[in-house]
Amino acid sequence: MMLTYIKMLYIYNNMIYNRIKLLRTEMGLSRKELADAVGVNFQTIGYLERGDYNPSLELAFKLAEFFDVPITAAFSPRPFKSLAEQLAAE
Amino acid sequence: MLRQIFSIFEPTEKQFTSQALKRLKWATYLAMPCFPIMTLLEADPEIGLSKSATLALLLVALVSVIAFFIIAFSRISWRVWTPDRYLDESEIARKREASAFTMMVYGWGGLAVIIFGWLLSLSGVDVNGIINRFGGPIWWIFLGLVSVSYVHILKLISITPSIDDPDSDVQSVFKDKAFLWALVLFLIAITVVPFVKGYQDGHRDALADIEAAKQSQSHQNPAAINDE
Repeated sequence: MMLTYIKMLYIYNNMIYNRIKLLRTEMGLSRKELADAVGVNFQTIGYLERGDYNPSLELAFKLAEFFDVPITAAFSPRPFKSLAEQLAAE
Repeated sequence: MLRQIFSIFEPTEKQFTSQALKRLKWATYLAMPCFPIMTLLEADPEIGLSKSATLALLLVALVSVIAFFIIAFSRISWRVWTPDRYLDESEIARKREASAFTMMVYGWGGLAVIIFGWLLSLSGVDVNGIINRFGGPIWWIFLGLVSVSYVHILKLISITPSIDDPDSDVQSVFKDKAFLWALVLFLIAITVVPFVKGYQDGHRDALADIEAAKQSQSHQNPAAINDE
C-alpha cells in the first residue's frame, strides 16, 4: 500500500521525463534545427531537455513523429533508465 | 507581415543566459525610481529642494532612465506585448503566469493603497491636496500602471529558466540587424524629434521677441524709427 502511494507520488509529481536530447544528438541536430522542424522556439527545446517545461500533448506527438518513435519511447512520467542499466538488463 | 515584424523581437540564446537575465533584473530594479523622481522634480518649486538634492536626484534619474531604456528594448520585455498567436507554447505559459501574478498585485496592491489613502484622509491628512501637488490623479494612475509593469517583467525573469549551455545555433543575422535598425530608428526619433521641435519653438520665440522689441522701441522712440 505504501509502495503504491509512493509510486503514485512519483508518477504525479508533474514532471514529464524525455529523451529529446538523446534523440536530437543521435540525429546530429542543433536545438534550433529541431525547434524549426516542429515549429517552436529553440528555448522550448532547451527547457524540455532540461526538464524545466512539460510539453503540450500536441508538441509531444509532433516530436515523437519527427523522431519516428512511439510517444512512450520519447516521453515518460518516470525517469528513463540509463544506457548502462538497459545494457545490463539485456 | 505582422509575424515578420514581431519575429524581429524574438529573443536569441544570448538573452537567456543567467548573466543576461540577472542584468535585466537589476536594470528593472534601477529603472523603478525613474518616474517617481520625475514626480519629485516636477513638484520641486513647491517642495523647495536644495541644489545638491536636485543634482543628486537628476543623477539617479539619469541612471534610472538609462536602465528604463535597457528593459524597454530588451527582447524578453517585447515578447510580453506580442500577441499569443505569434508566441511559442512555453512563452505563452510564462507570459500567462507573469500576467496572473501581476493582476494579483494590481488587485491586492491597489486595494492596500486605497485603504491606506482612506485611513490617511480619516486622520485629517489632505490626501487630494498631496496628489494634486505631486502631479495630479492622472499622473499617479500612470505611476501605478508603470510600477506594476515592472512587477510583470520581474516575475517573467524569475520564472524564465536560464540557458547556460548555448548550442551551436546559427544566429539569425537578419533578425539581429533588423532589431538594431529598429532600435536606431527609434532612438533617432526620440532624440531628433524633440530637438527639431525645440529648435522650431525657440526660433519662433526668438522671432517673436525681436518683433516685440522692435515694437516697444517704436513706441518709445517713433522719431528714431522714422529717421531709420
